[in-house]
Amino acid sequence: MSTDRDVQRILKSWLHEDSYEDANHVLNRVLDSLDDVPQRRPWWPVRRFLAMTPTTRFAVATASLLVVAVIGISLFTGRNVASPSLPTPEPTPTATASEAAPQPWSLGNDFFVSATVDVSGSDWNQYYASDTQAGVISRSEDAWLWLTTGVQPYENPCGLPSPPLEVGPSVDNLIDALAAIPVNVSPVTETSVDGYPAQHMTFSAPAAREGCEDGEFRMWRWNNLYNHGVGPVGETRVWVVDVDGTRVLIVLEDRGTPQESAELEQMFDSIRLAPAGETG
Amino acid sequence: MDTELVARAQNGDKEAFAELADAIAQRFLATSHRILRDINLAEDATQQALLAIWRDLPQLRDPAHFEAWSYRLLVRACYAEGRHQRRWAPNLRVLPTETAATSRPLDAVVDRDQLERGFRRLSLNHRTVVVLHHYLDLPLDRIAEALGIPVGTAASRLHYAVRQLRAALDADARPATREVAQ
Repeated sequence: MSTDRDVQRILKSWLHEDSYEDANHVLNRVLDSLDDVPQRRPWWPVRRFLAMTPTTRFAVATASLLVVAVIGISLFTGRNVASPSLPTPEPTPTATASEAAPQPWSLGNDFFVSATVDVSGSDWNQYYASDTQAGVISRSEDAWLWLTTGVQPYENPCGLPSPPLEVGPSVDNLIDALAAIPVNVSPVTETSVDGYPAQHMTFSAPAAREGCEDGEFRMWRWNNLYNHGVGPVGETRVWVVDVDGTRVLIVLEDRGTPQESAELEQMFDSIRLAPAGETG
Repeated sequence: MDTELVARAQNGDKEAFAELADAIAQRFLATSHRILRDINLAEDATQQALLAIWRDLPQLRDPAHFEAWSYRLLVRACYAEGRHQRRWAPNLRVLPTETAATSRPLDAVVDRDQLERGFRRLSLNHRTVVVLHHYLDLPLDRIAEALGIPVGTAASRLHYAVRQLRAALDADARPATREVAQ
């Protein structure tokens, strides 16, 4: 057995080993782009305001209120203090992400199941991690849709990492394992995805994860990929679909903006599935 | 750090910023590389952090706090890059079998690969504290200032990181291992 001191000594030595980073090209890229990045000037010195004496603070606040009141009254009565003819703002048509036509994304012949998703908007990235892992993730990474064969749940999401549970190959095996995760989980409901029978459940965020041993809450491990935790808000929805004998796990995590949520729903509704080698 | 240089850069002096960036870029890249364990992500994090420093520098009230403030921006950039890596980068790893085995002294078995595997299993929060403390030699109070967390939290993260790494190294030190099947 090692001691913490052993580990710290070895760790320190390892971190100080030679490495070959060269920051020059990063530096050049930064300096080349300075003209495109304006500096942010503090427009309202909040901290200075808080540091003022109460009398000064009151005077500044009163003056601000008066200015707002004068402008408000002027607008309300149709008169304008600063300019006799304020331009009337008119709506300008802009191309929003949601207006862009969805682009079909086919996961290719090597993927474990034939699947196509119509990717909505332009703020989504497509990830093909392996022939059993792929999905669409919003630029903010707060919303995503993922398709895989299954996951390995942890018995104790709040404990330090330990080998997760192995799960059998069937839909029921996976559903049972997911339902056993000690987290808020909805009842399992029978449904369908693209006409294939599916079972659905929703995981809600735990109230807190501060009590977890290392501050991490891990629900499951993707097929030997990274741990998945439920964040402090939002929910994770899963569907386990039986595509003519191929088990497909679809996971939707939605902590994004209303637009991202709407696009996520559209993409989920657009999923087309078929056994591998067939057209979805 | 030269506070006069910082003050000049705050006022939009690009030559002053270039000098400032030149002084910190190498250290930033080395630090982010050690946190993220990926040179491409580290370069992106360093670039984002330097640009964020330029952009937000006028909002830094006291140039004397530049170092802690700039580390905070670097760590934020690392977290932003690391979230991407954390969720999606493949992390196939060898797990110990359940068979009982006698442990050997750590020094006898630990190697770079084991350290790499163990370190990658740490969360970004934990890696960051470890790197700031054991690589940059920052004391806990300065780490806390840089990360905007209480000193106790910094100490706790360091403690758990070492404990977790120790557990991982001890587990790896067991002779029999098997690859986890999908």
